[in-house]
Amino acid sequence: MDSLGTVILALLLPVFCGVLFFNLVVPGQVAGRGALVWGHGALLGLFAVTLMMRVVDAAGYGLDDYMIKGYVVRALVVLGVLNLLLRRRLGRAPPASWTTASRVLFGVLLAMLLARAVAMGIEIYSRPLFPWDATMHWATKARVWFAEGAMAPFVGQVEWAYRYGEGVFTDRHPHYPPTIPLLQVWMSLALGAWNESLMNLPWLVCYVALGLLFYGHLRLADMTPATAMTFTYLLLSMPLLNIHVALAGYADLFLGATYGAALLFFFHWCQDRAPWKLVAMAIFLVLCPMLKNEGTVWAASLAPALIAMFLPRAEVLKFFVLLALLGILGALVIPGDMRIAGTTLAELMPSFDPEGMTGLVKSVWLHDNWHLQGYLLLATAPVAFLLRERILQAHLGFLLALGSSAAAFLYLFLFTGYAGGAKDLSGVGRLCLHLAPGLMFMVAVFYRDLIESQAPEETQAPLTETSEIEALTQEV
Amino acid sequence: MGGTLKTTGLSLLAGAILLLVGVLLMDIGSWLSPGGVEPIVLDERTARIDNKTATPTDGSLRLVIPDIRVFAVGLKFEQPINTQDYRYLHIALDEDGIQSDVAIAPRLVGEDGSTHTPMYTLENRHRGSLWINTSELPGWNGELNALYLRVIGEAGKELTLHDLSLHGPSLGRRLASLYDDWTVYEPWDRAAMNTHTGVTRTSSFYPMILAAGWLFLSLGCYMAYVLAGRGQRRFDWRVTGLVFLACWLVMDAAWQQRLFYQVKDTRAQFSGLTSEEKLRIGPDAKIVAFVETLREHIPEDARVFVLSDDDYEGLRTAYYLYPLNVYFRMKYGLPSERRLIRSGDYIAVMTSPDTRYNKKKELLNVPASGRWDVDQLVDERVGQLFRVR
Repeated sequence: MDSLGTVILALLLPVFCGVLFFNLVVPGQVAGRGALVWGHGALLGLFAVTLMMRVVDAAGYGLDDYMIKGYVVRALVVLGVLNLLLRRRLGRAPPASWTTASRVLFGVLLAMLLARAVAMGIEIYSRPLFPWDATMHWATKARVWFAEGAMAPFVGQVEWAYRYGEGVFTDRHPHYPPTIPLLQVWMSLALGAWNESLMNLPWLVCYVALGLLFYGHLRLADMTPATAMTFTYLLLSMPLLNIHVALAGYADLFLGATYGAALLFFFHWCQDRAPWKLVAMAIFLVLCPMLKNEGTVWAASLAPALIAMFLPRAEVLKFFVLLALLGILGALVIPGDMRIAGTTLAELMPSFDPEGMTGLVKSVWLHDNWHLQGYLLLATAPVAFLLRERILQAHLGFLLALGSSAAAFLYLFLFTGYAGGAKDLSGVGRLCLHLAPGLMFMVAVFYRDLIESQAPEETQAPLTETSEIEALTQEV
Repeated sequence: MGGTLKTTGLSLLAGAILLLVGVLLMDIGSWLSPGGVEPIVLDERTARIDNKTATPTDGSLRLVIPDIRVFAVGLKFEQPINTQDYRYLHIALDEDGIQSDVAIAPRLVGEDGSTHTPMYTLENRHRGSLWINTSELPGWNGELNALYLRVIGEAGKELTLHDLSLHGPSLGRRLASLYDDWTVYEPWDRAAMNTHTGVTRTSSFYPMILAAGWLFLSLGCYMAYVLAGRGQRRFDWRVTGLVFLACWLVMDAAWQQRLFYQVKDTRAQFSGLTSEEKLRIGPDAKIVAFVETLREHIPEDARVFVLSDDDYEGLRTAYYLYPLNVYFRMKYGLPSERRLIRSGDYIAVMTSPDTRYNKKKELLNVPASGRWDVDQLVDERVGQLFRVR
């Protein structure tokens, strides 16, 4: 139990840091504020502690346990003082309206999610590290860095051999980002020992954080608590997402949450161009490449949509055509052995593999990875047609961003050598996990728009953030 | 809202009925039979344990796994039976703690009178009462003169076989087998991170197809209801949302149950153990024990090369050897240049049939790498450890 208490503290310290920081980012009087602050803050706090570890190590102190904890505590104090000075109260949001049915639905779904989280928590607590990639190239680094007390360099196997292993280590993917291993090192430092179970508790924190931030974003998008909880439940109940929590050790869950956070903030920024949303988006976008090489691709896929939002509507199509032409030109001009996001350009040259399609279809529509999300996505096509005016008016940027990442995903698994990851199902499911929050959010927004479109005019358009503030001002 | 809920409920009910009818019509032989057959059950005449007659007590057989860790329990028939008459196999096996590995082993009689016994691994660990549609067992045809369950588990473990029986087609059994397919539980394996199929080899349907079928049929019924109103009934998106949510909840209930079974299994295996003890009894127990032996011989600053043709074995061995300075390259052996391996380096050889050690000459012959003067430090069934001279 001592160990459990220690690890809970090791989790809470960075979580509180992140929450206090994010409390300064999110303005008051925002629907879903509490969930937004806690969800994003928890995720950010876990990242921040790994960044601190990298800074301390880079400064020549290795992974000095006391120094890192000292910085975390100092950050906590400073952020706490800042919050007090700026009188930022955590979780202040406009009241929501409830009916009995909505309360019941909310309560039942929340209870199911809590039961799920407890089950997965017990699984993480009980089981030693299990999955393949975790022992191939994530926890390998954690194990070495914890034992060495520093971020000893990892190099390729051939280089390691030529250097006779002096001062270097090797594994199958030596250049993968260090964030995930550092999370495991942080937990081990807290325990004072390597523990193959407890070091994976950040994955449970990520799951809860994902749920909170997703719920917060749905509330920020003017959905009722019951509707927001419903879609949050749909997201958090997906089997493959649950498996990635319970069999912790991979980076995909974290990347899904981080990229999802960036994408969702981009959606909200497109609505009213509020600067804080752009800042929040940028924070999480920058964190994506620090998790996995695919994070670079997802982050890059958002850039065209962001640029497009600054252009006149009529120029957007021209911009994307130009971008496509530039892409083709780049493919012709850039050397084939140049590495981009962990792969060479030559490996990304198009070559259609129909078996990749079979694997993709199985993963999304036949196997029970995502419950019925695949079929929901099929329904979005006709729904998008029905909502075409609304989409052009309010969702174009978000859909361009999501569409770009989906296009990149499909290209990777249908037109490159990575189709193998779809054929043998070894990669396609995990990359779907990165896009799952964004796709579910899209479905939720479409549903909201459909409901609004069928409501009588006098009951339409729930209050937005801006109009709530105006209403309050008028009351005063 | 009341009207919305009522419409949703009726749509779901109609969809469910249509789905059920569709599923039953797809395989009429699974539930409709012109003449019936008597079930063949576990009793004094049929029960066998390792080919010896056994006597059930209160209809059950109490079993203990022997020291050799494997035994067979089942039914022997007085006369061979026609497999096509018996569409359902029912198993009711109780076992505390970690479930043993069980395979269905029917002894089939070929046309020439020869017998063969295919093995069907019973992946579903939810075995308290399990109905299996035998048409899902490939090769289940011809005649059958015995049906066994082959059990492999921990020596001394106790199990109770409450039922092992064969039955003819019936609607109830068809529905029971569908339910058991829906609620299948198979513990996580290495592929779990990549995909969750939701089925085992004996499943009749992918649950996703059934759920999607229910969803579309329910929505179709709702559309038909709206259209039948000839403009008097307004299409309500909330109904589609609730229909969808209901279908999702039913799918998720099965998944949640599966999670609980998994947690129960994991707790049974690892509860109360330290981190090191968990590794010693976990799925990599043999590799962990071997690595612990290796560590006694390898100093902290040494380099260790792992050789294995089995990627999983090699990878896990390398992982457990960290934080030593380990080299394991999947699909490759040792570094190609001899000069890259020096005196004082260690080579752990796992499954590598082409690697040979000459004890007399103390030479290790590694394919594509050559011969090495070595001292053999560890020689176990799992692997060997050599130090390069």
